[in-house]
Amino acid sequence: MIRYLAAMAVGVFAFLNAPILSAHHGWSGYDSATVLNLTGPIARVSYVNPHVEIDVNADGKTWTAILAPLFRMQARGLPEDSLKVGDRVTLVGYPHRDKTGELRAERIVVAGKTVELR
Amino acid sequence: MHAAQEPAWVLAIEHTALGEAMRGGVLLYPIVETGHILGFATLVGSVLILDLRLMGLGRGIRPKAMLKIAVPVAACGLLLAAVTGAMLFVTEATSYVRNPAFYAKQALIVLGLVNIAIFHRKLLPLADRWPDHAPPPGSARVSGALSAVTWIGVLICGRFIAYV
Repeated sequence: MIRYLAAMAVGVFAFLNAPILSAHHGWSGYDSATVLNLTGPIARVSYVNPHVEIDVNADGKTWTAILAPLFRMQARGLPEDSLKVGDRVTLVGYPHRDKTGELRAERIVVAGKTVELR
Repeated sequence: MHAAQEPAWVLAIEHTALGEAMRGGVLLYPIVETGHILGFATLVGSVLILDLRLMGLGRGIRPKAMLKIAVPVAACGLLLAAVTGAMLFVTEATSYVRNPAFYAKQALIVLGLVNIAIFHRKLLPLADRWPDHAPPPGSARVSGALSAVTWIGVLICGRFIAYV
């Protein structure tokens, strides 16, 4: 009985600490009340699951944009060769609350074509 | 993926062929993730009906009959969840080792497995003495309650990985 209660206490303690130690890099870590609109050349492409990421140089700094999973990227008209370093793109999205220079892109404009990402 | 300052062993796990396949394949990741959900849904569902019987609900069913169905199904779910979980981990290990919900989840999984081991080794051998259509003795009821809380906790922590 004591063993059970002790084990349960450890588990509950571990679970309760999770939100306290939260690192805020999940979907709700982005400020959806602020809409960013950035245009500039792509500096880096990471075309992988679970989320494609690109770096874009805009407004004098480098932004990391979280795009969509591979299946959605391809289904919506953004295969791997559609995003190349140097290509000029426009991103509309929400900035990360804690990490400067990161945004969750809602849509991207590539070669004149607007693609919704959410 | 997020190279930077992570320990070498974490990066090594990410940069395996499996990691490359999970990140680069269009369908592999979503299929594995779906398998993970199927695995833990099966595990949590079957564990919960067993735990509820241990706590006294559904006493029309003899405990040993419930165990005979629930345990193999739960074991299959656990195996599927564990294998797919390992594949998901390899995909972005650097992200998981920084995630508090991930650590809480693993701690609760250990708790759950220890509880299962104690149940099987200490309590199950005495199950022939349990009443057919009434709650089992106190220690089995406690084990069932702990099991329910623990595996639901694992599920919650797993979902919260994406949000913390």
